[in-house]
Amino acid sequence: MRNPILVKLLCFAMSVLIIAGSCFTVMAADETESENAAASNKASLDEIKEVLDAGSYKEYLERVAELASPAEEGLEPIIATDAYVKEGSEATEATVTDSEGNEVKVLLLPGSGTVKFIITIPEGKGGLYTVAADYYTDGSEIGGDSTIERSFRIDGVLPFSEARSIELSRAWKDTYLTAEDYEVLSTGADGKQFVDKDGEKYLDADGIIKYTDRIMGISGDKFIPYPAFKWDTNGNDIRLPKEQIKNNFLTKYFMDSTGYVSEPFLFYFSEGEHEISLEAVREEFYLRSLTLGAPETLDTYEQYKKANEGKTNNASGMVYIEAEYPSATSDRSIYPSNDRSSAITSPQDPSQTRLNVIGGGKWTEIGQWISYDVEIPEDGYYNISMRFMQSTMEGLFTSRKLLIDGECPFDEAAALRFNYNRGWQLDYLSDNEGNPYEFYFTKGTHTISFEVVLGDMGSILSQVSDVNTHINDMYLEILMLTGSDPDAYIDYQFIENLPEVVRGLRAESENLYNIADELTQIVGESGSNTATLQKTAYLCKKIGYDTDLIARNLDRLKSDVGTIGTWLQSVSKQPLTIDYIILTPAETEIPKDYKGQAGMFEALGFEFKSFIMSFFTDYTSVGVTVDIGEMSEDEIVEVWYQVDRDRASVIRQLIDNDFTPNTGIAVNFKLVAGGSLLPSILAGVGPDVMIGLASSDVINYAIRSAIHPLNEFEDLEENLEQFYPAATIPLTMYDKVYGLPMTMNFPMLFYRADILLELGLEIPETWDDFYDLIPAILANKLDIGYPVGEQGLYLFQFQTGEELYKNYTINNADGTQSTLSGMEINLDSNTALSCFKKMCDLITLYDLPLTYSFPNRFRTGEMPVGIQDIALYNELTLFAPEIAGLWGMVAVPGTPREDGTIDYASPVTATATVIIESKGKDDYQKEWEFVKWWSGKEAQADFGSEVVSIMGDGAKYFTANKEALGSLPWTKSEYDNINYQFKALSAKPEMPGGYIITRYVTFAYQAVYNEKKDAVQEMNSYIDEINAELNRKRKEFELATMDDFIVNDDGTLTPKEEGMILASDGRLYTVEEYNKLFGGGLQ
Amino acid sequence: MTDVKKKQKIEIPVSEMTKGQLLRRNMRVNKVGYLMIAPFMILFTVFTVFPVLLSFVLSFTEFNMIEAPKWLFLDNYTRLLLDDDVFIIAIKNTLIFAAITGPASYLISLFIAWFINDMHPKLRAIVTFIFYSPSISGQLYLIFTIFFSGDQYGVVNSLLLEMSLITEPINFFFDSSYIMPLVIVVALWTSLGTTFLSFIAGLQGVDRSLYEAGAVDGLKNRWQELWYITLPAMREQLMFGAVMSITQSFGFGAVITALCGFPSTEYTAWTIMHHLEDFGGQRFETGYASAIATILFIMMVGSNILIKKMLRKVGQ
Repeated sequence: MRNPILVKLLCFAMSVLIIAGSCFTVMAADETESENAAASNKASLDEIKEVLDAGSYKEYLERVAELASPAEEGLEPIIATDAYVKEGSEATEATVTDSEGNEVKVLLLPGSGTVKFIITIPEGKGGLYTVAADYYTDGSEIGGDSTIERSFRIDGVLPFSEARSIELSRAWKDTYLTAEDYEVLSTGADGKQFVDKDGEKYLDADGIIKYTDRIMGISGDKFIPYPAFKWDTNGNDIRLPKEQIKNNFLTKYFMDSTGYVSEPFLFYFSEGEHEISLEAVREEFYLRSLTLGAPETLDTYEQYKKANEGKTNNASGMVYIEAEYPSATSDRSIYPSNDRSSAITSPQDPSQTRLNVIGGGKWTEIGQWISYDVEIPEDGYYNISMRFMQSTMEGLFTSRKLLIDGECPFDEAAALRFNYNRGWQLDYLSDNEGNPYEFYFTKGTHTISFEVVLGDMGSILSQVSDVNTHINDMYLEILMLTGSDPDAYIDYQFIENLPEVVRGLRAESENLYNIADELTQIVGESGSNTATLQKTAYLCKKIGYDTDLIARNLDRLKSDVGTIGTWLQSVSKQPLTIDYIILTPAETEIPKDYKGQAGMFEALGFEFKSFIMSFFTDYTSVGVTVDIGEMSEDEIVEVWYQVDRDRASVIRQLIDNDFTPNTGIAVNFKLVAGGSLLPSILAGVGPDVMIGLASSDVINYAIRSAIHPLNEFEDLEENLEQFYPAATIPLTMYDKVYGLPMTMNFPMLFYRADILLELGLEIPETWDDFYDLIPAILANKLDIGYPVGEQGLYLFQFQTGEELYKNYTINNADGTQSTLSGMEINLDSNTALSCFKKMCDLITLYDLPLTYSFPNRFRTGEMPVGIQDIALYNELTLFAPEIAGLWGMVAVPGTPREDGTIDYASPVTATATVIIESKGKDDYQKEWEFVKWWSGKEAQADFGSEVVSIMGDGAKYFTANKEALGSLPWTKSEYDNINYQFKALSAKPEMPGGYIITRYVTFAYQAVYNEKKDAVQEMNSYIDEINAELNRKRKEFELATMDDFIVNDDGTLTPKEEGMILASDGRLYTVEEYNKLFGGGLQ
Repeated sequence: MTDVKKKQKIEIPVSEMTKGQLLRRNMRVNKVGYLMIAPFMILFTVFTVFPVLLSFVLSFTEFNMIEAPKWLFLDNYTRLLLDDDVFIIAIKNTLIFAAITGPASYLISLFIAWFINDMHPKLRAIVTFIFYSPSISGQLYLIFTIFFSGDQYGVVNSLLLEMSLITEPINFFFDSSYIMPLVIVVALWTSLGTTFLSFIAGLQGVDRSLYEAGAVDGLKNRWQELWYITLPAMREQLMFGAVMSITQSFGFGAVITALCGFPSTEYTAWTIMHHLEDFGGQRFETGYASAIATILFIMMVGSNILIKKMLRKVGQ
């Protein structure tokens, strides 16, 4: 890259690629498809390459604006079942019923693969069109819970990079208890009093009536069903699971999923026939039709007002909507929650949990919406006001788009601002000067929806994102010239070598200053947000004009890029919590008892009551619906898990909603601190089931009879089939299975696609490729991360098929032969030693670093390729938002087998769910039911999805259940790659004394690195010590050791003592003992 | 009846009482004292004395924490002393630590306290804080892992690389030739704890008039002043400090684990504490671990007796 001619050539090549991109990519796309099955690695890189090459929507719009103008009128809907290409398509036709009961023909688009449609644009109608999909989702029949995502291509070409991710939301509704769940027990003086079906809990009559009025908002004598949450045993609200709304067709425009562009995308269609395609990224759905429409412009508020002038205005009464009872939401994760920060949040209780608000951190992503059905009493003009809290985005506002009956009434309502305040606010939906908007409603039911948008921040964020991407690109160029640790005293001749970069730095500095000014104007103040931008602008200016400073400030430049990336990510989130919504007739005041902040005495009184009540509240049983207080200990399964509160509450919900109702087994679920299992077992007060025990601990406990083996259960085999064998290897010792796997962690290959593409490198498929890659990467002053150590050794060794422990054949006294493993380590075999040497060569010969922080270097691009544990996915998602979409993970490099296939084995470590042995107990059926349920497909999939919906994409759950993996919210390509590796895993068998291996392998490679010792000799020198420890530990547990045998010439072993038989539990018995214990020689 | 008993007891003169009678009498007389010490003594017995005794008993058994212990008698000790190479390394390292960091930190504490003692009170408070802070700031010593990181970006490595003194980063805390010296430095750095504070307190408590008297008696210099007046006057603090540093240097382990990992490369910095942790925590051999603990206990008690004897010589 140092050669200016080369740079120019590259630029030329890139521009040619963009201009003629279409033809090239069509060919490339066809090629990729055929290779897809064979090489998943290559496909991953190509995918990102396609997106990077496609360019942004902004560029696309500029380009097509020269070719055509926006269409003036829309075209007839394209009926999916008529227009799709049947040949080679996995789509299937189906008939569903819509909400009115009509049968509708739809096309089921599967969760993988591409579905193509042929459309014809009539003569003279070529132009820019919006695209909208009319679709149908129903979780009970198909697919999972996450948002539907598709890539949209026209004539096989991705028109712009944003078209890679077109999102279509679902519609969910909460389930409440309704009037049918209550019975009128007696009629009070005021006419109504209710009791619930159990006949136990009286709902306060006054409370109900007031409550009912407030919820649906119409006073009078008409009874409105009382939606309510279920109660736990202590009267706290608990929410019921959400359901997808059935028979519901939704219509959505293809829009920008980042929210930077707030209008629907415009696509250019020329006259004639076109092939449009939808490639699955995640989830399946039914498509009725696609509509090409003419872009619409919304009226301004002035125009809207004028249009509604002179209409009947009988507006009266007040409509009150409790926000926690939405009629529909876009995501399962948007659910009611409890607010205790204010005394007057409605409803509120000092001691019990009332689900009284909605939104907050769960309603932040672009495109998520909540809608309410409102009964308007009379035609007329109304103001809409809202009690809300926006206490997250300091110095900024968050935005919502208002839709009335699915339409945004006017332009200003598409970007309503909710300003920052630490407390609750009650305010009208109003313009920036505070004048409330007047909305015209006709009498009857209307739907009001609020959708998350970026609003006025959209253009700012989009610009900052562009600048940041550019600075990051320039940073990489500099990095490849100077290396990651540039010398401040070398003259790198930046102006000669990287003139584009120097110019770019100056330009971007200018841009950032301008954006900061614009931001100040929008927000009305300059604060920490503008400072973030100005800081980087200053740095770019400084080093752009004094290039001698570039080398010295390279680290700062990178960290600034990271800061802006994090800022972009946090500002793109639009949190808003709502308590209630009020519609009042225009030009009337909101009644006085509705206010944002509680009065001082109200607040004090509430806090005091809460404090007093806190002494009487049983916090451990919050959310418990089965009263376990009165049950005997035998009836309850006690389950322990060392985890955080958020995850624990998800598990508890799953238990209460799924496990206990279906099995009738009560569960006492406890959160425990690390290290509490051992003392509790010692004291005899341990749990019945432990979740998430590390695999190395499982055998440690099991061999000391603290864990109950699962072999006695008849359905063990069928349950084990849900896992790949590698996951159960560490939980199995001498034919006994001690637990079912829960999570797995294994190395995969992480790569930075942008850097590999820039350098023209490929993702390594085999170790040969990997070794070819090393010099290519190092030559560019970059590095590769290899997990040197036990994992790194197994990565090589397991792919050769070499065992970790030596296998011996034992000649039994009764003439049979059996095999025994675990007595001696096999690290001294030729293959194993060569694997160890290979690993050591990486740090000595190839000069890869031994110690490094991978996330840091991966983020900065110094280490564009690394083999790391898959758990790193979460860290990178949270920690490095600025490189989102630029990296991926694929299976580790493989070793070619003789039959031409490649072995991608990667060593796995697992956690397990185990049954704890307790003295004098022989019926473990209840515990087993729980273990089966928790390790099973449904519970694992529900848990994984729920955790992600609560805690975000950085909380991905790595289940060991192969069926559940498919139901977790991974994108199609992520799933493909993980699943690819999932199928090819191997594991270290756990044996008594196995901990010693880690220790001596570490000693060995440290000596090779530090003291330049010979790898083979060094490893060999530890073999005796490892074997001695294994021997000692085996003796402790009375397992057969090498001392018990004579080695025969053919390598088999014969017991020293005569008349001994080796049993499947790894111990030697006399024939009599053996027959007694194992039933007459049956093996 | 009670009256008769009382009378009988009073009749026996103290000088003629048997030992048991005397004890009972003293207990009755001092019962308020016993009552007041009871809360501490009960807790101390239950949570300190009893576990120590239990550990001693367990050291003669094979016990894996979960199943019932098996009686072995001296097997654990013979294996420990005759058949465990790593334990010998541990003893060696522990003694090196105790011999270097124990006395060194003791002397450093003493001299720094002595120097600081003459400062202006406000300045003294600040300087005391600076020296004392490393020992109370929890895991601040982990900053050494940044200084001596094996990464090419570690402070020392990047400096050495820049000066071209080395060509590839040194893996300081994992390279057996660097581990011991580095760990000893860190140990000294964190060791100015309670010992140091007690010395400052002791120095403050020395009666000023003694120095005047000493000057009159013909002390020639500050060394003599220190040896003949200051140190004898603060013998209690010296004793306390000695016990603290010995215990600390024998029980030094957690810091090493945090710096060098568990175990340190080739057991270079393996101490008895590590051995204890290894067998007790990792290998579930509590009986064997108890034997290790017993030996460590004996070593500590032994060295305490030795120290006491040495301290008696102060000022003579």
